[in-house]
Amino acid sequence: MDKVIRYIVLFVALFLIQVVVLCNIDYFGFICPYVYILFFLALPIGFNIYGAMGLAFLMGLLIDIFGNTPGVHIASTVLLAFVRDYWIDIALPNNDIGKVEPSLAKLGISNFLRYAVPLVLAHHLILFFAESWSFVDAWFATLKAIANAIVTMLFIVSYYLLKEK
Amino acid sequence: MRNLIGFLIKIAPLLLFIFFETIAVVMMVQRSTYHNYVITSSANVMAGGVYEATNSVTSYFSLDTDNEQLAIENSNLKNEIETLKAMIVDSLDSIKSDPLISYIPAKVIGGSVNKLDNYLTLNKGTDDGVRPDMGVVCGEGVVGIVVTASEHFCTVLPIINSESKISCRLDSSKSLCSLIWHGFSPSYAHLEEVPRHIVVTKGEKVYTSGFSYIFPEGVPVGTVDDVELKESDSFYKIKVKLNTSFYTISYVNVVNFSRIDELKQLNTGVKVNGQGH
Repeated sequence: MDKVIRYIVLFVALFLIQVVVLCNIDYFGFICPYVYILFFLALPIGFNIYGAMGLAFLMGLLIDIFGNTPGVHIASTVLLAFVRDYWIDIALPNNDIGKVEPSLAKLGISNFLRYAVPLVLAHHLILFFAESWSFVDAWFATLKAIANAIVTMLFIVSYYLLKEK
Repeated sequence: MRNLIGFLIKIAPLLLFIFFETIAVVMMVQRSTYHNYVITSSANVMAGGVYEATNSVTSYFSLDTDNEQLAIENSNLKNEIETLKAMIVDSLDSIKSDPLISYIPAKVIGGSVNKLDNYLTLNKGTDDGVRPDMGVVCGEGVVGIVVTASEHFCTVLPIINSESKISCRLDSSKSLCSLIWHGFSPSYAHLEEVPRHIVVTKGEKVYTSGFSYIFPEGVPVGTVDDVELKESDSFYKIKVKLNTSFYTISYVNVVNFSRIDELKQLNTGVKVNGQGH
């Protein structure tokens, strides 16, 4: 029960931080970290996939409403929640840790990066291609996705480092 | 039968995934329709409320530059009043007391500059007389066009949105053209439909044309920054440095044409072969 409340608080907090603070960050005209996806990375291993996708849809819809980006964040976040379930089996094959939170402390830095980086990158690629809604500026969308994924990862790693202290 | 049910259970997550993604794609495809603006636009009460609360804090950080801008605008307006006064005295008899255009002051309380389709949210809505299709200007120049309005908020499609198209006029040649935006930088936009026989010079000013009833004539838009004309092209590629700085935009005016309904009625009969906005 305690755990459920903690996840609800994390959901609301990440959403508010995203729309009130992070969406206003704008380095070099296109860098804006999308740290709200931390919630889906932090869901326990083995968490119900329907639940994860439902929450992803809700979070995506909320971010879309506040950012005037219909469908863009829904598409990318639902994809993240869907792929994550299968990615865990591939990236962390010998996990006998059961329903544990895949945090930086529990997985160790190399396992955590192997788990998180491809998911964040996949999310950002879908996000920026959906936003430009064409493959005309494909190189620019890819560049944006990679640059933003690096920044998002920095935020996520620093969140875990601060949390441990 | 058992196999089929087993199969369906196995692929159920995939089906739900496809279902959600379809909803998302439908939303993206219809992003320009009125319904989508209403559903996901930040003019809706919840988003408007949160943005206003945030803005009540963050607006203090930009007070200095805002004041400076207002002071400059004030003095410009005063100067204009003086010149106009002098003109009125000269021709007092012919002036009628029915201004065609009035301005509704508003404040930007939310928005983005770093996306391909940017929007701004203002703190004025239908209760203050704001309606969709009204133009929005600020002291520096053109801002955009209102797309939806709720009771207390409205959403503006600014020049820096890939769907924005605004009818402009080049200063020296008075040639009509359309201002569009390709993305990349919120400080630059492009002019389309300038034929090659017209002379365009760097540093030339660009103004609104006053065609259609969205912006008054002669609102500054920007200055020509780069002109490109290949042998094979029949139209120029013109890069315009925008006057309005969308990074710091704060106080704006919504343009209200008092005879807009009459003009609209007139135009429904004749489909004007116009130049966008």
